[in-house]
Amino acid sequence: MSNEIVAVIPELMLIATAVVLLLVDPLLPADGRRGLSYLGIFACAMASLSVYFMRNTEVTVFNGSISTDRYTVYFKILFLAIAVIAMLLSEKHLELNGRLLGDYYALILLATVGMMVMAEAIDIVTFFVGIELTALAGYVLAGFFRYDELSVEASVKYFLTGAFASAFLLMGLALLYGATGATAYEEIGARIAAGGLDGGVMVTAIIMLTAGLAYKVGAVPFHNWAPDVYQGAPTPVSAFLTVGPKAAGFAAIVKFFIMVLGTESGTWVRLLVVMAILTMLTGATMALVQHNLKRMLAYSSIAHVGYLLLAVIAGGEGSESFGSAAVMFYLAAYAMMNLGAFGVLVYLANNSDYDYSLDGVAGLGRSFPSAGVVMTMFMLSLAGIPPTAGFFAKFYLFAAVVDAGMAWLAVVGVLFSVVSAYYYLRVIVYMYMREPVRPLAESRERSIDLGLGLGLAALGVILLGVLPAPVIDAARDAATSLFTSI
Amino acid sequence: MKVLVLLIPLLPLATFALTGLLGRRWLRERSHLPSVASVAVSWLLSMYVFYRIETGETFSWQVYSWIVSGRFHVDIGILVDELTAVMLMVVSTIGLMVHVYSIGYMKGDGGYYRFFAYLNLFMFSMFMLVLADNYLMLYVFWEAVGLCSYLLISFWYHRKSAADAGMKAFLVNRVGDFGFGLGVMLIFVTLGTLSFTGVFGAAESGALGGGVLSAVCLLLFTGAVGKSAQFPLHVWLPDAMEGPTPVSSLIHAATMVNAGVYMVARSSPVFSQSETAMIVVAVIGGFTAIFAASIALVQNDIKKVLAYSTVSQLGYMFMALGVGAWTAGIFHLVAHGFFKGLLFLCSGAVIHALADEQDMRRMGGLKNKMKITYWTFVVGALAISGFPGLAGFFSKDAVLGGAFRGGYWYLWLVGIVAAFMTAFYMFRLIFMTFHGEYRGDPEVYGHAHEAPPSMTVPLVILAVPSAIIGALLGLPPENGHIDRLLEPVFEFAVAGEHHVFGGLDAGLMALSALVGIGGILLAWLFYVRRPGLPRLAGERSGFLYPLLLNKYWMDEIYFALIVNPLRRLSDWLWRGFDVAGIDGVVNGTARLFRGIGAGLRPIQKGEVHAYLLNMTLGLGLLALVLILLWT
Repeated sequence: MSNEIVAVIPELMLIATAVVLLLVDPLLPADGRRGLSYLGIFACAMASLSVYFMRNTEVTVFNGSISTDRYTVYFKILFLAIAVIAMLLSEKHLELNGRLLGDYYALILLATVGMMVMAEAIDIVTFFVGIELTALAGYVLAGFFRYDELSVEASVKYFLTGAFASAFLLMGLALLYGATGATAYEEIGARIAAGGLDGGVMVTAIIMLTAGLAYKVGAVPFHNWAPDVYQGAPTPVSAFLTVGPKAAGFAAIVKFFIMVLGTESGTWVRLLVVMAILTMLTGATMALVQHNLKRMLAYSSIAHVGYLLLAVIAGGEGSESFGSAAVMFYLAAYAMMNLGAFGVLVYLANNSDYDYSLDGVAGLGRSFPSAGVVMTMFMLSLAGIPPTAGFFAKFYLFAAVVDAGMAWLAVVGVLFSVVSAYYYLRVIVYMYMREPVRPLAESRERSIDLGLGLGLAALGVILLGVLPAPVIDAARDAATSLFTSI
Repeated sequence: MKVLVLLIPLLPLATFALTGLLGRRWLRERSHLPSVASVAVSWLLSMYVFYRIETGETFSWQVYSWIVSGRFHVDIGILVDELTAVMLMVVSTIGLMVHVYSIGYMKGDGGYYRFFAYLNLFMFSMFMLVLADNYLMLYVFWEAVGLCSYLLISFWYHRKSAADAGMKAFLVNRVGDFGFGLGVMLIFVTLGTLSFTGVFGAAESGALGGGVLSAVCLLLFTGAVGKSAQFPLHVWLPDAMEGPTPVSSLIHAATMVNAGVYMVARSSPVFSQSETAMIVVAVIGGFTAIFAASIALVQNDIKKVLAYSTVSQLGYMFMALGVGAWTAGIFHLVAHGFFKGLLFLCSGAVIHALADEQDMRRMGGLKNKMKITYWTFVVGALAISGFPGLAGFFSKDAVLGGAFRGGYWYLWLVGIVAAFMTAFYMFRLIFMTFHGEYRGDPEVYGHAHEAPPSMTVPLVILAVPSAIIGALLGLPPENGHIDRLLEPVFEFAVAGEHHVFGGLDAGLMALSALVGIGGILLAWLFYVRRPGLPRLAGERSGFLYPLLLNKYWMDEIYFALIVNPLRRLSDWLWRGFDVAGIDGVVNGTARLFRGIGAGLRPIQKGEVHAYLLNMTLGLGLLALVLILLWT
């Protein structure tokens, strides 16, 4: 028993802090809530420390529903880092919008717990609980600015479509249980490998599961919600949603598809190939025509999902640990650059009546020089230009795809990344080569938190680009441990 | 020695940081001091390295392990061999001259410190590019020099054309780099290594061979086509002339655009194993040489003429590499670097004197006003035209001789015709700019003056190598200094006995000299002796003249075939799938919370409904995919 509690100490820390935040919040005066974020950040820091110290303990607990290994360590630390940066980006923005509440940080922490459960679950029921916990927190976060119609609309759309997708997912899991009679990953995998299952049921189950998980990561054709939600939600929330639940979704996809459905890879790889191409196409072309930067970044995130799917496919096509390590490294790089890009938008919105338009960043390079420099860094990284994280992540990812013997897919992927360079560069061009369309506010809303968050993201982008070795090693270890555990 | 070599790139990097951070507030009009000083030291060190290499030493070592992860192993390593030394010499010499020149040229510009900062960042990246000992590092700095180039093309960003040109250079280069990146990945997944020694060893032992080797070469060459502005990706280079002229000289004539040539030459053990790749390199190069030269014949912008000339001369270099005349290709790279760098700086002096006028139709008669510029310009023009004794004569002859002896007589013919065109357009430029009557605004002519010493001194200094480097490195032909120096580098790629200069070669040499002089004379006839002739020729040529003047409508073709369809596609996708969007009221979800009962109806017909329908259709699509692709 004690073993079981120890294994989930990080999760418990976050949950306890979330409860404390919810309880303390109403007792504080309106202007006394400023430091609340530090409580959340402290909890995340402590949780990462405990994850780190337990990195060598591989245990399976709670009757085989959760297991920890290098794979979960990698993802947990990534999720916690994402949560910390997201919280750093938020405080000033919430305050300026009159919504600085403890609830917000509690929700972020709970979503993070859900993400961690998604990564460590080895049982389909626990997995579903994790995914729903993340999603429910996400719906509320998207509508957190409840006086802002856009935010509310985003939340409702997210909720309605999300409920629909959960139905798909649940149906798929139910069919899988029906076909194999097991809920544990390992057992399901063993039954499938043994063969003799009803082919029709398996295929239907895989289609349903693919659809449900595709929704969670925002892959085409289950992506409609993404641009609306990322555009409408409060900007720090968009920053969190585009990287956090998405990374968790991929943690689940890699674990579930490659580990459990490995022997059925013929079926799902076909589906993912078509989805990956559609996703890259839609993301890249739609981002070209966007004038709202949040919407552009939303479509850009769809394009990045397409690249990530390529690496998942590579993992399923025999390049297991290389492909999976590529997914993991890419997620880390993507988290840093996307949090950063949204963070700069938060900074602008805090300091002017910025409407998130492309025109609005005109002349930014001169009016906000430091914001301009970091934004340039994030855009170059998103476009995959060295020496940033984005370059190395793309290189590693496409190399994995080529290694899996799917060079043509890598060619398609690189081609779309060529197209995508245009809309990222356009932001830089506007920042440095256009005159400002309207004056930006003179008074600056200084925020150490926001600066720190942007600084961390920028540091991540540079370090992952220049010295990627430690993270690559960790990702490879994690991938290897995933494949040896089965 | 290690420290000295590392200082070559690191000094400019340090002054980049210094100038970038302190330039605006503190250094201001003194911003050139640290930059010029650091590049001068880099130059001295490069010369020292060159001297050490001359004695037969080569150096290579690992600075640190960048990534060690399973099969994935890449080091930051330095390789200094004869080829690197030659490149260091060219890059540092022209880099230094351009830095000095920029003191005068950029004086008073609002972005003075920014200019020197970018220039130093470029020097760092370019040095690292030639020092790299593996393909990943080469690729990273390949992108880095590209980035500096876009920054500098768009330096005067308030001019829309400059901003657009930077964007165009960036995007066109993405296409080339797309191939390069894939090539590097293919090498890695085939061999598991990216170090030059490893890859070349594999090519020599046959571990890398057959179709994969050809594919690698062609992919790498795609990158070279982009970076070195070869047909059909040459379109960015003429537009890149929007950048300040020192930039055109340094980056778009003498150094960065040579990166493609350098890369192919560096990969000679790989390329030489693939006949397909070699012939592709030779034919693309040869075609570009004559294609770009023909466009240069009729351009009126002084820098555009030089830009197309650069494209054409780069074509010569690729032609040489492709026919297996590796040394000739690098020889021409060196010679071209000096005389084209000089020609651009001279054109900059002219533009400077005429208050930013670039149209040669509004120039003329500057010979007496700008004596130093005129004479150095003539030296450069004679050199590129292949006038006997000057740099271009020896290097171009090595290229053409290589093509002829390799059995590629058709490429030789193309080269000879292009050489004739080169001589013609260069002296058309000289005569239109410096001779005859001045044709522009008289007031501007009155103010025209010789450039300040910071600009003319580099011109004079660069005129010296433009004149003599050919003889210095290339005499006697086929067994000159450069042949002996580069022999170890291309040892594997050049099969068989070394060619000995003979009677046939002397004949070819005489012929190309005659062709060059013929071109000069024809230009003299057209633009000095009988000034009515150009118009007559233009009228008589029918379709040809507009074809050349409009650069074969390459930009328009790209727009019609790629840019516009892509734009239409995304517009169509946008209208079809995205226009619903989000506006806070459109489907009444906000109202859902305000009114009871009334709220649900809008959702049923709003786009949420459509989204759910899409998701269901998506499910059907997945099923369809499985049915259709079921094997």
